[in-house]
Amino acid sequence: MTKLLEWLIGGLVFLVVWATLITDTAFFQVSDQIKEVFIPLPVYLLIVFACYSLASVGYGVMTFNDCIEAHRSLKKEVSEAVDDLKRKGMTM
Amino acid sequence: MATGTDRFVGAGMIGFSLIVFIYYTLWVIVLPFVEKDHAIQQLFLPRAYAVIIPIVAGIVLLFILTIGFCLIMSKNKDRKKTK
Repeated sequence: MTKLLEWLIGGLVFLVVWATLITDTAFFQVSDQIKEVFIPLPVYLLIVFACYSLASVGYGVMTFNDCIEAHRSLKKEVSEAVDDLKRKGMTM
Repeated sequence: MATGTDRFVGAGMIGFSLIVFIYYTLWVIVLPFVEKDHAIQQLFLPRAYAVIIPIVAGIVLLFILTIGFCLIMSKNKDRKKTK
């Protein structure tokens, strides 16, 4: 079973449980106060996930060192490749 | 460590996501348990917006991505035609 399938099934199970709880069709009832917190829960979890993604991208941006040597060698390789292709007739 | 602008942008992203997380958590989870006439209720919009705003933002995002995708596809087709 792939990870995607696992997550989709987990998400489906969560949604089914959520739907039964907010429509009082489960075999136990929840109080009105708890229901008020429960109703926006899927949207809330989505927003939390988005915040976590943004924060981890920001953290990666902050801690990634500049690789000057790799930058220079990459520029050199790119210009070599462009010259080579120009010689062989491609337009850039 | 990464250089100047990178660190600033990264810190900005982390700060923004922290602010959104804290505000949204207070709004959705903490506020229902606070009495109706507490001062802090003034800082938050009516709770219906806690669901409407993310959904509308999601739809707008999908819209922008679709338009961007169509623009890129049409630019690609034009380039293939004139070649």
